[in-house]
Amino acid sequence: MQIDWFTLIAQIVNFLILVWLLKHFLYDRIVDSMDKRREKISSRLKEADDKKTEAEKLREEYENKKKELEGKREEIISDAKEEAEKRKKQMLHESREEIEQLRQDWQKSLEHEKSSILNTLRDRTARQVFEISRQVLDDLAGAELQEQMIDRFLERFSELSQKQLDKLKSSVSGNKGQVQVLSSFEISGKTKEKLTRALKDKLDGIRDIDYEEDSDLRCGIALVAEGQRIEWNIDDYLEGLEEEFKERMVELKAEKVKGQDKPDGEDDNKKPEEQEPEKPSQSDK
Amino acid sequence: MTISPDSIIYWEWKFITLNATIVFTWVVMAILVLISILVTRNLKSGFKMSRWQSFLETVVEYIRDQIRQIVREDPKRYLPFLGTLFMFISLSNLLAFVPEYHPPTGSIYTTGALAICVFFAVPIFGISRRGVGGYLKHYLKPTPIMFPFLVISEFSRTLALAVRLFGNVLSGTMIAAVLLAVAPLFVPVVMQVLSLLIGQIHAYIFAILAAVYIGSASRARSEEEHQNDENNQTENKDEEDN
Repeated sequence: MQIDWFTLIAQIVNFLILVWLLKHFLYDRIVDSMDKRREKISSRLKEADDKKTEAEKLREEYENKKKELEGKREEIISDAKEEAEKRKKQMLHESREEIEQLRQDWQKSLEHEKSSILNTLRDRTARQVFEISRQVLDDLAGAELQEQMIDRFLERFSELSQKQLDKLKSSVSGNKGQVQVLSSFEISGKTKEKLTRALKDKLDGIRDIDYEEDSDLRCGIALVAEGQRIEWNIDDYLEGLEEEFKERMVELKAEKVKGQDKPDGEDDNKKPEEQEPEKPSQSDK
Repeated sequence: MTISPDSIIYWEWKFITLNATIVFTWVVMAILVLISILVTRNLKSGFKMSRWQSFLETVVEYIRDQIRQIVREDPKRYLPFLGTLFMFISLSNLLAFVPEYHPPTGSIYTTGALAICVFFAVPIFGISRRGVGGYLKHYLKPTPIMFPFLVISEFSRTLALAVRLFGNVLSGTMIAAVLLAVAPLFVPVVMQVLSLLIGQIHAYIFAILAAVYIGSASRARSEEEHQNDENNQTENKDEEDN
């Protein structure tokens, strides 16, 4: 059997052509499209993965933000509460203070009024009392009382100390023995003689005595010599009495104020006020 | 009764003879190329595709998978050659049910041509993969004594490839012819179906054997590398364990 070389070679060539054609038209394209699809799928999967992680991230972020906001809100609310509480306390305190101030003002004015009334009352009472006493004494100033008065007046000289006596004597002698005797009543002749004798006995420098009536003395008798004055006057007693009366009244008032404030004495502001009325009484004592 | 398509001559001029083998080879080629062009004209890389594209993708992916299993490397460089071998033989045998068709694989010249292609493809792939020295060293393994036997086996297996396919296809045709004489009704149909199956099997065997020859020639080095890699890996593992 002869070998058909042409057919053999033709088939080889045919096959090689077919290989080339199929490579070109089939394998390359098919594989390419499959690779592309695979790539696409993987890229889409990756994309989905990315998106998922991104979404997860976003979600976390939002959750964090939400939490943060919630925390902030609570903080703000608590702050506001605190502020309101503070404000309330402050306002309460202020109003309390204001009330206290008002109360104190009122009390002060009340006190002032009271004391002024008391003062007026006291003054009027004292004046009345002394007016009456003086009136009575004036009315009673008869001869006998005059005798007594003069006796008392003379007693004064014996009460004087040696120093005062010397001083009086020197002033009498300085006035060339001229002295003046003032009295609230007219001294009768007999009594005048007796008084003159007694005075001259007490103060040996006296030469001339000038008797004068002085209504200012009210009810008393006085010896005046060169600025020196020896006097017995009922007014002295009355004035002393009046002074004491006034003192007593002040003390009484202070006690009253003290007694009034003590029961509701809760405020510190009061203390200096309390002490104020006491001061005069203490200093007086 | 015609046994070989070589003896059917359609046209002759000087030494050029257009016999049935060449003509039907062209027919098969034309069908393959036409289908390829038609299908790949509008390929889609999206997720929706035509049934034809899906079919061809399945076939190509299957071939790629088989090559990958045998060669154990990226099938890209072997796919056109091995894939065309399989597709050509497969379609040639498949068309046997068409009346007046003579499978070109029934000619010793066709199978011989394919076997010769494989014969030359083995060193070409081997050298391109490992270099001339690396490829020639493969003949001296496991011992230089084996060299003549290996050379003989190169030729003998090529011859075996050609004759195996030719003989099977020829026998299928002959059986059909003989049975037609003995039992003209029904029985030949069954035998025809059987021969279709056998034709597919031999298309597969031819392509697989070619893949094995090419793979063994180009894989020797990669096997060494593979072994080295495995050794390294185990060593690394040991180190890690320690």
